[in-house]
Amino acid sequence: MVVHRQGVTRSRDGRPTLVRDEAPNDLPLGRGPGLEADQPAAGAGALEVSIEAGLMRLVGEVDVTNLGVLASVLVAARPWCGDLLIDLTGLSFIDVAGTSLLVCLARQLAPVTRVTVLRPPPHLEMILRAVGWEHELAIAPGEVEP
Amino acid sequence: MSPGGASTPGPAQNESTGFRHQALFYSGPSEFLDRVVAFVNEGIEADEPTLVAIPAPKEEAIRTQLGSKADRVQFVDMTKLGHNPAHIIPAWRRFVDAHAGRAGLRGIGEPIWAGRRRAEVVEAQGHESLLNLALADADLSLLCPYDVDVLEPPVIEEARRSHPTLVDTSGRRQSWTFRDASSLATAPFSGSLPEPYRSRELVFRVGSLAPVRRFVSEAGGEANLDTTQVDQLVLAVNEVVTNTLRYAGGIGLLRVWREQDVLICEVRDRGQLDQPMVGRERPAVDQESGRGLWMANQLCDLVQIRSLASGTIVRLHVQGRAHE
Repeated sequence: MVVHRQGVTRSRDGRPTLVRDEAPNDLPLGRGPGLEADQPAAGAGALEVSIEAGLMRLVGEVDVTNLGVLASVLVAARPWCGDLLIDLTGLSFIDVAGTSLLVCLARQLAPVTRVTVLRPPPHLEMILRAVGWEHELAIAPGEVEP
Repeated sequence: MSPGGASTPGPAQNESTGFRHQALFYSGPSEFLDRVVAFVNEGIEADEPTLVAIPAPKEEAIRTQLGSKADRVQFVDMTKLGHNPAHIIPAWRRFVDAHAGRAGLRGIGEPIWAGRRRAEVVEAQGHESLLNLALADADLSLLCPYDVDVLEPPVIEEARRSHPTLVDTSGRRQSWTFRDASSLATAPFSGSLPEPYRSRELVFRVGSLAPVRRFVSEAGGEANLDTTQVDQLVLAVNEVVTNTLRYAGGIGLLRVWREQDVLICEVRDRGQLDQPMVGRERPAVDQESGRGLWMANQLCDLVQIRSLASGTIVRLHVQGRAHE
């Protein structure tokens, strides 16, 4: 298995490729009156992604700090011509922007490819309901085969 | 317009077409019933689609008075629909859009009743003013009942400012203190909010979203919110904080505190909000901005926004229900 700090790489033996991203913690920031800066970005959301034919696994958290990584991974998933299962069992949080990337992918690949998410965190279904995307993304509650 | 903001009597609204926003000042249940039934009957006789949004306990008496004609009226429990007042305008919008092309719609909306929390009343008052902007293009006659026996005098005074037409036992008249919607278009979130006695604080900036979520999750657990409520609040705060990180300078202050059984999370930043309908219009799937406050309104019991040149405050309220 190959581990990268950023971007998407497919391993030669066809086994899952891991993409790891941790948010930058050294961005220059202004300080406002009355505001005390927190400690440097300890515990920023981490995201690990593995891709195998027809199966993608997301582990960690998706928010604005690592949205770009998810976007690039989803672009890499597009050439796949069979149905795509995205296993979110190991995802503890996903925000609206991350959910909208999944919805956009499902829209773009339909009807040739069906995108299904497996065991999403509760936030994903809350977002689908609140924004009216309930019918945009198929959700499977069951277990994925190892 | 006078320096105090009071305008000349509201001449802007034509008496028979357009958006006709009227406050009904009533005293006691029988006067409420007489007035509301008469108003609804006028609509039924004119074959106008009619939506009545009032607290559910009042519905049965109206249905009884209307008899078989009640089936031609749509009823909604305002204590549910308007629990978060930001949900009311989207509901009127759906009603108007569902009858596009019909000449003349009719509605009753009672967003303020005895026993509402002070913060809810303030936001419901803001909602009443926003209606003048949100439904300016609608051909809707909307009557808003206010119970003068139980509501505080300042609530009645504010109703005079948000409704161009007033109705009471002495008849109909224009409001001399009506404040038209132009002030909302330029400064929609002016005003202040009461400071908490004490709060817990966290400064956040780019890269620190995960600690923000943990902070809110712990506060939700300590406040006895149930698991779903904690997840909802974490998501709502995440989206509001994301707005700060993306559009408002990348740094802000999160504060949390409790008021009785309500947990309040406040996000402060140095950005400015100038879109009066933000949080009240459902975003499109590919729309990047404007989603955070819509989400917050769907996930929280109350959202308060104040925005001045010095910055923006967004307060998210969640009422504990773990032990109901």
